[in-house]
Amino acid sequence: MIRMMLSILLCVLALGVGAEEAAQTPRKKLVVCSTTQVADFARQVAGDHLKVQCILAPGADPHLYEPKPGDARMVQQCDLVLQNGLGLEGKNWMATLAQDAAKPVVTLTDGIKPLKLEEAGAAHDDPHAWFTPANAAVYVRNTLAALSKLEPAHAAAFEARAQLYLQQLRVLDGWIKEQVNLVPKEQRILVTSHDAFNYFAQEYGFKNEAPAGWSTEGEITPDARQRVVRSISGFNVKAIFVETSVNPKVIEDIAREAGVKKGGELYSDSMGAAGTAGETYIGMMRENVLTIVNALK
Amino acid sequence: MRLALVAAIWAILVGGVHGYLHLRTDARPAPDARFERAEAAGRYELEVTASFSWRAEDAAPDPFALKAATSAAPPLAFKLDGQDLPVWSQPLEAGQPVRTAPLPGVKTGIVEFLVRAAPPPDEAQRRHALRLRLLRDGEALDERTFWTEPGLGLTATFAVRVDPAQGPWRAEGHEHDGH
Repeated sequence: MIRMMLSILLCVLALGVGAEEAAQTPRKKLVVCSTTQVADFARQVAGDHLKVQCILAPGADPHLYEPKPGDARMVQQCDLVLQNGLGLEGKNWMATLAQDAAKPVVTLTDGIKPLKLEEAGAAHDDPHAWFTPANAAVYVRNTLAALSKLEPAHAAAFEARAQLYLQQLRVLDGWIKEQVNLVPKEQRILVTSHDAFNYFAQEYGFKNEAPAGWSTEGEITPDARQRVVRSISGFNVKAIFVETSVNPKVIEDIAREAGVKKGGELYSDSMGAAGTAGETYIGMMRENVLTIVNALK
Repeated sequence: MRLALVAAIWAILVGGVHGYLHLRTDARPAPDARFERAEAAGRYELEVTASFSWRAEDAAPDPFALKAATSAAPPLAFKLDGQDLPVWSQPLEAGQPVRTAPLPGVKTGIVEFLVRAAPPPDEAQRRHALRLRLLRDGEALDERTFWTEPGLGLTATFAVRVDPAQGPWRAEGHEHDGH
């Protein structure tokens, strides 16, 4: 009897030490992000200090996404929600999920002056702001502020990572300018599936055309399609591009009709899957620029 | 009796491991006097000669700065042994040397400057040179020239040995010799 009691006592003692160890390793806070770009910025700043999860899978379309029960559970368990904003998350699905779970939500495009797009007589903010490294720097600064507030103990490490990443964005910007310079100015015409590349076009001197508007949600009208075909012929466009997150059929039809080649696939609303060159923001931008420049120069 | 002995050994082992894991950080050795550095005597300045020009009123905010900038980003930033030096605000003329204010906190031994240079965007697409000289009481202790790559800024370190043997007592000795 005494033996048994002593054994139990020892087990309790040993377990107690283990439990104390576990208690001293705090749970990593969870940040849930709406899109792959937002999640990449969060991971670059958070490092291993926070757990970052993304609702959208690589290649998924944020304009058309319908949240699933698993998304609501993920948001319920999180400590912070990060979203792109400017209407990218169609029907405001990310903010709605955060609101339902009573979680704080930070919009990473805050502070960016949005481009205005006219569609069906109404003006919209263009949500694809990440397509210039200078705007991506705003996303990173907003991420840094949000994560530092969430986990002040690691603020210095977040700041060091953000600083390194901003330097990488600066290098990326200079490199894009060099690459784009290889394409004669009059050949810088970017025809894509939907109106996602306005920020990129404005920053690097492209004229852009797309049969679909700023969102992939709407139908492509015959008028819009004919306008794009006329532009391709009128400007002597060398190649047009499909997007990884949009059905390529329309662009393939237009290419056939206008007699131009397909220049390749561009990452647009979503980055690439793990293991692809476009699985990070910098990789995505690099691959897009190489695809565009190689097709148009 | 045997069981009590086993329990005691167990308790000592577990307690020892627990103590080692939790108390060892408190058992750090006291600072080693061999690594303490004395304040270096004399007046220290950096002399900067850049191959680009910069004026605050012509410069644009840096879109890639860590803090959202509303005013012009300085073209140069220095740290001395990890401590920020005052923000650069003097105009630069290409090829003209400019001296900083006297540097605070220079210690004997090897001092290391971290230098960041960002030529203005309109001049950034070519290579630039930046020459640094560390002056003590107006005399150059050491100098080094750095080059940027086109389109990129510069981040470099400039390490200089500040030797107590060449400190102000050498000057005193010199004066003494002169008498």
